[in-house]
Amino acid sequence: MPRPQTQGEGGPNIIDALLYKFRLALMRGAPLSDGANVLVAVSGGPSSCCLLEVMKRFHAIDPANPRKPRKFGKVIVCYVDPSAVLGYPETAGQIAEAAAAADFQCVTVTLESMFLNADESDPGVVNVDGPSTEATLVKSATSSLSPNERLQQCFQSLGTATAKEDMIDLLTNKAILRAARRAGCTLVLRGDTSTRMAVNTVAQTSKGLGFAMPTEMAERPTWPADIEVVRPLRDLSAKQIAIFNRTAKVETFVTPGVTTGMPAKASIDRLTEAFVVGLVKDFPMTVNTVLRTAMKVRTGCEEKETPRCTFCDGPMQEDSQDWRTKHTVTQLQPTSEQDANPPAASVLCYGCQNLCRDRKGALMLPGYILPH
Amino acid sequence: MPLSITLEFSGGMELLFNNEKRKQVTLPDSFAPGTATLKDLLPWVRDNLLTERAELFMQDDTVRPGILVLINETDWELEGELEYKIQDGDVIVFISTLHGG
Ligand SMILES: [Zn+2]
Repeated sequence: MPRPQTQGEGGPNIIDALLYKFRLALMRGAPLSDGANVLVAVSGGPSSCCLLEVMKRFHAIDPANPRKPRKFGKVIVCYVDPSAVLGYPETAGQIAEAAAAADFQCVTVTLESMFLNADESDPGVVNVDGPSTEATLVKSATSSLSPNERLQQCFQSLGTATAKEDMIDLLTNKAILRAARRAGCTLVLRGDTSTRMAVNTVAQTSKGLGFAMPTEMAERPTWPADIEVVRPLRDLSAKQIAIFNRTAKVETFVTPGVTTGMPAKASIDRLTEAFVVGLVKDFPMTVNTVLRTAMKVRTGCEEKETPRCTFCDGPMQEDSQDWRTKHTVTQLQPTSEQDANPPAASVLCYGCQNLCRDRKGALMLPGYILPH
Repeated sequence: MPLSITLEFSGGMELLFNNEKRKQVTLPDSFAPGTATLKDLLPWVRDNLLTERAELFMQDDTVRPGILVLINETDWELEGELEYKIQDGDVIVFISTLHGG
């Protein structure tokens, strides 16, 4: 006989327990956001679908106190549609339906739209070319290719599954912030669980991206300046989310990604996930330990004067600036030529330079990474 | 009487099972009621139902870390895990909590 409640993680009150932890993390992350318009980033995976369900409950009128004002203004669901490179175009419609069922507006932004400017004008393209250690950027102010074709070309020249996953993440993150600005939202909610944040911490560190960690980990990131990005499921594990979704009958729309169905060693993210989740099995505190350590890291990346990467908008480390200066001096290029084809390291952060590293041929990026 | 059970796959787990989220199965006679356990069931599911890579479902003789198993809506950790004795009509749910499916 089926039992009425799922036992084990928080007992019969898993739904209330999860809502409580969501509220606490939200209050810590966005204490001054009363009345703000909120953008909820939904990918269709278990944690973001859980976030949508929780927001539906949080935003609902309290039947016991119907005159109590809601905390937020508009709530808008945002789906960044990667179907141009991953397929499954029907997911956008499924998420729009889920948003409508929660009485929220839904905006879908395609991944390829990130090859245009925010006002949808055409920025042209930049090709990253040359040997990986001395890659240069070559700008074409116009291109006959559609945004979709530019994305395809970009994706095809990425050399590894890790680079493909990173490119999708990068464009998705940019698209979410862009959609938030367009919709007038000053608060963005993301569905990252504690498990995912621990996996990201280890993966980002192994990719040499530790400099940006404070922004990734902060409960109240100070960057970007105009939008607060909060992860209100950060105190809940992936397992707790799975049990909540089962108990609350939350529908998810999981579609295959770059490495789905491939061996666990297919990319750094996959390998890291298997490593962290494997550790958790024998050492249940692993996730908390990683996160507590990561939250103590200070790198200065959030200081206002820290230069920003023109592609991912992430912080650029001082050292790589030094490296760039030395590099440029030893090259002794004539100034005019240097201006025409600047080194990738002059505008791209270490992570974005990494994306360009294993490329096959020239890598096509949006023209706005070189403003002139 | 052969054992008849329901298997469910979600959280991306279904991608390893031909995108089927729910499957009613009648187990072969070798699964004797009262003695057959989950330890017997997992390799049978792997060999008879799985359509993708086996290592994404099992590791050694159990499920891969990150896959949550519920037996009649109860976490299998409270039900003896592999030692749980299958009963007729059981609903056994496999939920992936992994990002990469
Ligand atoms: Zn960058």
